[in-house]
Amino acid sequence: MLRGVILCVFFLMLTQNVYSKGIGAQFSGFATLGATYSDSDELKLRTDLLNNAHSGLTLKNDSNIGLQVNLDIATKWDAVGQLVLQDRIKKSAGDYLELAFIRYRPNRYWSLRAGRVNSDLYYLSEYQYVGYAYLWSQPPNEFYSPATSAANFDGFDIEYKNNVGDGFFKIRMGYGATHPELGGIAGQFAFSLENFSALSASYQIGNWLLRATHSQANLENLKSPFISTSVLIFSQVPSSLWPASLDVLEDIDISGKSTAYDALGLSYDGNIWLFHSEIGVSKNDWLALSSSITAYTTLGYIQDELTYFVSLSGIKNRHKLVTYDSPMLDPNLPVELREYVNSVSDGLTSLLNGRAARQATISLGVKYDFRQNMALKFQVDHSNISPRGSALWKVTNSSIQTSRHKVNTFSLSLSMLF
Amino acid sequence: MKFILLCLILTSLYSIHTHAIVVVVSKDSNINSLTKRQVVDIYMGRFNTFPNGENVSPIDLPPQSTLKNQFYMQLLQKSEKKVNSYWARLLFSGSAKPPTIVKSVDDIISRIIENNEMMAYIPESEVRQGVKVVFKFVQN
Repeated sequence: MLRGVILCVFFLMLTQNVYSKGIGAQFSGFATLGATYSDSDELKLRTDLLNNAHSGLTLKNDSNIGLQVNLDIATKWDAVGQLVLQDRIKKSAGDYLELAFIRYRPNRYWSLRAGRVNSDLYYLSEYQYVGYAYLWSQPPNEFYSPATSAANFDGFDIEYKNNVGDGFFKIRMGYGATHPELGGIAGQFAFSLENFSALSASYQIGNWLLRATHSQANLENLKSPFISTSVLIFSQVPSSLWPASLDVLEDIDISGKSTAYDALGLSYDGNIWLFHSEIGVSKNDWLALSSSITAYTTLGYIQDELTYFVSLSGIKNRHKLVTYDSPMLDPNLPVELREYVNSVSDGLTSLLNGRAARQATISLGVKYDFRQNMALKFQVDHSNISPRGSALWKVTNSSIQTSRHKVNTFSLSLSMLF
Repeated sequence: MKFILLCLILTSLYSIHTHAIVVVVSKDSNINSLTKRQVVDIYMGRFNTFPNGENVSPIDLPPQSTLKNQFYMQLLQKSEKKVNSYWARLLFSGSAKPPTIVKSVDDIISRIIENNEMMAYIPESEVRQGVKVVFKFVQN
C-alpha cells in the first residue's frame, strides 16, 4: 500500500509540473544510549511491544539511533524520511522505517501527507524515540508500551491548523493500514490493522496543551504459529468432550474482530513546573488482546539545568478476566485422548492468564540538560504487577502468571541530537 | 526613597545593556508589519508562510548567543533549552524544520537583502539599508 500511495503522489506531482526548484536535502539525527537494569529474572522488561525483552543489565531496551532526511521538493511540496534502528522483534527494513511521506501544503492552514505517516494518537506518538525531546528516561510503560503498535501507518492524512481564540488549534484525520509484529502472549505474533482510521485534535494555549484522539481498525491477517496451532487443535476437539471449545474457537479467530482506542491528554510546559497526564481506553473483541484503561500523571520541577520528576502510571483490564469451563472428561476415555485435550486446555489457560496488563508503577527521575543538544537522564521505576496481569512483560515461566510480582527498574540514558 | 532611586538607576542600566530587538525582512518584501502573534507562529513552526500566503524562511543565530536568548525570552518567555526541545519535537515528528542558523548579524542582513522569503531578528541599532522592520518589541 505504501508503494502504491507514493507512486500515486509522484504521478500527481509530475502531472502538475511542480519541479520548479531544485530539490534541497537536510539531514539530521538523534540517538539514545540507554542502560537499564531490571531485577526480575522471571519477568523480562519490554519497553516497547514491538521490541525484544531483556532483564538484568542491558543496553538493548532503551538504545536507539535515528536518521532523518527532509527534502524540499518544490513549492508547497516536501518529503520526510526517518529510519530508527533499535532492537525490533522483526528486523526487516520496513520495521525500522518510522516515516516516509510526501506532503502537499496548498496553503498555510491545510496539509496532506501520503506514505508512512505518524498517527499522532498520544502525546509522544510523533517522537517517542527522540529521548532528548522529553522528560522521562523511560516513558510510562503502561501507556506507551502498548501504544507503539499504531504509532505510524501506511496511508494518508489531512491536517488543518489555525489560531482560535488566544490559542492554536490543530486537527488531523488519517486513513490506512499497519502491520505490527508484537511480543507478548503466545510468543511473537503479527497481524494487520486494516481500515485504520485516526482522528486527533489539539489546542495549545500558553503553556497548556489539550489533546484528544480516536482511532479504530479491523484486525486481520494473523500470523502466530502458537495461535494457529491452537485453533487447529481446538477445531479437532469434539465439542462433546469440551463444550467451551466452540466459544474459544469463535473468540480466538481474528477475522471480523476490531480494535478501537480513545485518549485524552493534558500537559503544562512551564519554565519551573511541568505536568503531563494522559488517559487511554482501548476496546478489543479479539481474545488475544485485552480491552484496557491506562493512565499516567507526571509532575516535574525545573531547577537550572536539572529537572526532577515523579510519575504515577497504571493499566487495568476494563472487563472481567476471561475464563472458560475446563473440559470434563470421562475417566473411561483413552488416556492419550484425555492428556491431549487437557494439554490444549492448559495452553488456553496460559494464553488467558497472559493477555491482560494489570499493573501500577511509581517512577522518580532526573533529567540533566548539560549541553544544548545533549541530556542525561536517570530514572527508577517500581512496578507492582497483579496476578494474571503481566502482558507488558516477557514471562519466562507461565506458572508465575497467577501470582503478584514487584519489579524495580533502573534506567540511565544519554540522549543527543545531531 | 534611596531604595527607589537605586532601583530606577539599575533599571536604566539594564535597559541600556539589553538590546532593543526588531524583526526584519527584505525592503522588497510585500510584508510591512507583523503582530507578535504572527512572529510567534512563524518562529514556532506553526506556519511556513507569511499571513499573506508568501513563503517565509526564518533565520536564527547560533546556540547560546546573547541576542538569541533575549529574542526567545521576549517572544515566548522561554529559555533556549526549552526552544531546542520544542524544535526537536517538531523536526523529528516531521512537522516542520527549524529556522536556518547563520553565524552573525551581518550574515543575517546579507541573507535578508538577497531573499524576500527571509525573516530574522536583529538589534535595532543594526538596522540598515536594504532591510525593513516589521515588528518591534515594546520596551517595558
